[in-house]
Amino acid sequence: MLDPFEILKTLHALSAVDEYRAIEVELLAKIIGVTPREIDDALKVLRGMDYVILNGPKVYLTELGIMKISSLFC
Amino acid sequence: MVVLHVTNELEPLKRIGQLAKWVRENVDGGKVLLLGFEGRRNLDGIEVVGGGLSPRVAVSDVVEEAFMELFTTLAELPYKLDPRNVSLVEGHEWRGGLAAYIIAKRLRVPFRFSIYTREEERGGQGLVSEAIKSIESFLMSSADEVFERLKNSRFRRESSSGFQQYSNGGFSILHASWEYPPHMVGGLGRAVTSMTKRLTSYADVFVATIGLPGRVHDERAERLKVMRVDPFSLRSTGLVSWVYAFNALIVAKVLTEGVKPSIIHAHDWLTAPAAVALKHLLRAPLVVTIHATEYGRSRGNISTSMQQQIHYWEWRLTYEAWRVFVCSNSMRGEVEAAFKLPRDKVIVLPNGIDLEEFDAFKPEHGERDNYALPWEKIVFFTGRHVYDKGVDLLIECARILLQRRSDVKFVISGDGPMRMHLEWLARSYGLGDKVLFTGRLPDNVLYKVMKLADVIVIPSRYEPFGIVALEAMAAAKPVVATQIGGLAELVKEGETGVLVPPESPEALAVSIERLLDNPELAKDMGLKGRKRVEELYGWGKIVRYLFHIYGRVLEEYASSGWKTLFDSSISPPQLKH
Repeated sequence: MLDPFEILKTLHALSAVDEYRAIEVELLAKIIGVTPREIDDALKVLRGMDYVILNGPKVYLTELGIMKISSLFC
Repeated sequence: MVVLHVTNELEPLKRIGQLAKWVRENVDGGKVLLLGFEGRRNLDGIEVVGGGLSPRVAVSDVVEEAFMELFTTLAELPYKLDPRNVSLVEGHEWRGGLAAYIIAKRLRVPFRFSIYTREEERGGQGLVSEAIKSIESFLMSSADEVFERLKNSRFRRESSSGFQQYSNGGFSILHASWEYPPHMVGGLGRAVTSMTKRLTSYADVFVATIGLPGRVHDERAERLKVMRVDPFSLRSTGLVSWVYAFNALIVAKVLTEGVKPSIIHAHDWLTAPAAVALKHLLRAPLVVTIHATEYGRSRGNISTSMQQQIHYWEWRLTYEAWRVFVCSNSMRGEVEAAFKLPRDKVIVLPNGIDLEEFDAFKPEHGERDNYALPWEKIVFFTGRHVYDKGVDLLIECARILLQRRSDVKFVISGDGPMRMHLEWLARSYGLGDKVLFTGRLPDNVLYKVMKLADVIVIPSRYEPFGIVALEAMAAAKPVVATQIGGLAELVKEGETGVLVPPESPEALAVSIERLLDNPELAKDMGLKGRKRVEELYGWGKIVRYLFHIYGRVLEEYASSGWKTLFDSSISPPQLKH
C-alpha cells in the first residue's frame, strides 16, 4: 500500500493547505506516480485521521496534517 | 538611472541555455549581478558583479540549488555591490527574479520581472515544475513591472511599495523562529514564546514567523510585533525547499516592514538562511539558539542531501553568530564537536517555564475519567511520535508492565510520522484498551493531564533539553527518564525522578512500577522537582541573563568597525537600560 505519509508530504509541497489551494486527486496521483485507485485508499485513511479534507475531486491538508509534517523537523 | 540586472546566465561569462544570449542582448548599460559566479568583470562598459559560489553541499533539485544561490548572494552582496544610483532592479527569469525581488526591497527601489519562457510553456511536470510555476506566478504578482521579453509585452503596476521607514532609535530584537503560536511543534516554540514575551520588559521585540492558513495576519501587542509570512505562498519540491521559500519570504517581509533590529536572534537551521542574509543586508549582529542538531539526531551520520543542507545551515548559523546559546551542557558538547566552535562562543541558557501560566490550568472534576478508570494509575507521555522520542520503547515497556499488573493506563499524547505504526504496535500486543493515544493536545489540556498523571515518562533516545521533564516537575510529578542529553542534567536521580539507561523498556517498567507502588516516594520526588523548577527555571531570571549577553554583543558590535556598502543610512543602535 502507498505510504500515506508520502501523500501528506506531496500535498505540503504543492501548498494544498486550504480549499482555495486544494488540488485534484487525479493530479496528485499523477505527481506521485500511482493510480487514482491507489491514492483513494490512502486518502481514506488520512481523512479518518483528520489529516486531509476531501472536497469533491480535490483534496487539501488540514492544520493537523500540516503540523504532522512539521513534526519531522525539530 | 542605473538598472541592476539580476540573472544566473550571461553571455559569455556563464552559459547554460538560451537565457545567457537573451540577457546579453537585453542588457544595455547598467550593472549586472550574475548569480552563481565569482569575481567582477567589465563587459563593454557593463559592470558585472558575481553573486558568489554556493557552498559545496549536495542539493536534490534545481529549486533547492536556486535558493542556495539566492542566500549566498544576499549574504555577499553588501560587500560587493555599490548600490548608489541604482533606481530599478530587474530580475531575469525566475532565478534572477527571486533575488531581484529581495534586493529591490533592500534598496527600496522598484522591481521589474523579465520573463522569457514560462515554465508552463516548457510543458514541465512534477514537483520541480510546479514549484517553478508558482515562483513565476508569485513574482509576476509582486513585481512593479512584468516584461515578457520574447513577446515584447509589458505590464506596469501602480507603484505601491508599502515600504516603511527604518527605525534607528530604540533598542529592538528580531527573533526569527519557525515555531510560534499557533504553529507549535515541539519545545522550541514554547521557549521562543516565553522568551520573547519576557523580553518586552527590556526592548521592542519583533518575531518573524510562520502563519498558518487563514491566520497569516501580523499581531501587535505592547512592544511586541509578530510578523507572519505564508510559507505556502510558493510551492516547493520538498521540505528543504519549503524551508528556503519560507526564509526568502521572511527576508522580504522584514525589509518591507522597515525593521532594523539592534540584534537578530535566530532559532535553529529553519530560519538560518533568513537570519544570515538579514545580518549582512542590515548590518546587525546575529545570535542564535541551537535547540537541536542534525548531527545529534543522526548520531553523526550526515549522508543525505537533506541532512547535508541542514548540517550546513547549522554550521553557517553558528559560524556567523556572535554568540551561540544552547539549552544544556550536553548540547554545549554537541555543538562544539559538530561545528568546531570555540568554547567562549557557546553559552548555556536553559529553557524555562512560565509557572504562573502553567499553574493556571487546573483539572476539572471528573476530567480524569476521560483518560482512565478510577482504579487505573496514569503513566503519561507527551512528545512527537518520532524515533528519537522512543515512544516504541514505552509501548514495549507497557507490554512488560501489563503482564505483571492491570491497574495501569498508558496515556500517550502527541503526533508524528510514527503514530500509525505505534498504534498498530500497541494493538498487536493486545494493549488496545490499556494504551490511549490522544493525538496532539493543546497546552491548556496537556497541562491538566500532566497534573492528573501518576508518573511522567520520557523514554527519549536523543534529547537536547527535555522541556517535558521541566513541565512534569512543575506539575509536581515524578519523572522516569532516560539518562541522556539534557534529561540527565534536569532530572536529579533519586530526588526528582529516576534515570534509566536508554533503549531499556525493562528498566523503564521497573522504575515506573517502583513509583506506582510507593506513592509517598512519588509524591516526595514530585515536590522536590517543583522546588527545583521554582529555584532554577523561571523565565524571568533566564531572560535577564539573556539581555545581559545582548548588551555585551552590542558593545562588541559598536567597537567592531563593521561596514558594508549598503549601510550608509543606518546608524548603530543604542542600548537603553
